[in-house]
Amino acid sequence: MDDKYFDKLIRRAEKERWEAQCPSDDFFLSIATDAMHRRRRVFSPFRLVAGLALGLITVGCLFLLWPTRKSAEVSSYNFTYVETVKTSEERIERFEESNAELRASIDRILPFPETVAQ
Amino acid sequence: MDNEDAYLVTLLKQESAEGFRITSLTYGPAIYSLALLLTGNPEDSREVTSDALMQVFRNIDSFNPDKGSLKSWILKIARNCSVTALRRRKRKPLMTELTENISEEASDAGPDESEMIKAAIAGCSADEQQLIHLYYYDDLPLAEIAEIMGVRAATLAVRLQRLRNKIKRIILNNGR
Repeated sequence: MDDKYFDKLIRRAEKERWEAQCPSDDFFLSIATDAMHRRRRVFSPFRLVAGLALGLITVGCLFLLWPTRKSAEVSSYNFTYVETVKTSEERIERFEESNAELRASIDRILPFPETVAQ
Repeated sequence: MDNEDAYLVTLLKQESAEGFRITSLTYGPAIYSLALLLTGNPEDSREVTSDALMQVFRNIDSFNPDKGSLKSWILKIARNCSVTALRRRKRKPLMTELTENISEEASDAGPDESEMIKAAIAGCSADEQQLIHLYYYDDLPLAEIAEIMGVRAATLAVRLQRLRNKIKRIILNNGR
């Protein structure tokens, strides 16, 4: 008995041995159906919640990182400071302008005597 | 990876119902028979088949075709699920239970060659039966069986030849 023929016999016997004990196709199809139901039940709400959370995080990041966000507001002097500067030179320039405006406002409210005399 | 497996992997990645159905019908019987061989219990085997297929559907993205065929990857998952099921129930493989049933069937069937082979296989150890099953029933190459069983392919080749000779001897002795 050569090995190839013998292999064929073993293969046939092994297939017969297990095929007789295997459940019907219905059993395997029920697993596929169950997988489909689980996917709809578990994955869809999960995706919805994940989408909402991602949306909230995006909005939060945009709010924090927005470049023209108001950082200070002095409403009692009718003076609004808006920080939109990017370089240090620009920042100093803006600060000087704001300082001059503030000084002018103070001078109008509390003028120095020599200013009044003039 | 052959074209059919590549198509199936694509369907599974898309979570398609057709992909689930084809996988269950194509690989379900191989998973079930391996689970039955390892657990020796039809109820446990059904549970293992269901668990293994669910794992396949969930983890299809981690399948790497360079490491072996889709079938060997699925059977590796099936083997792990069977081992987990046995651990969960804290018991050893029920090979003797299964072996006794098959041996009885074989002896009732008379001295037919095929029945003698079945009886001879049923008399082998759990590891030997697993090797015979993966090689002859699942038609897997030794390299992939080595990956599933965690044994070197060369060792398996030697074991397989010994098993062939052992079964041959049993048949020749019974045939006399």
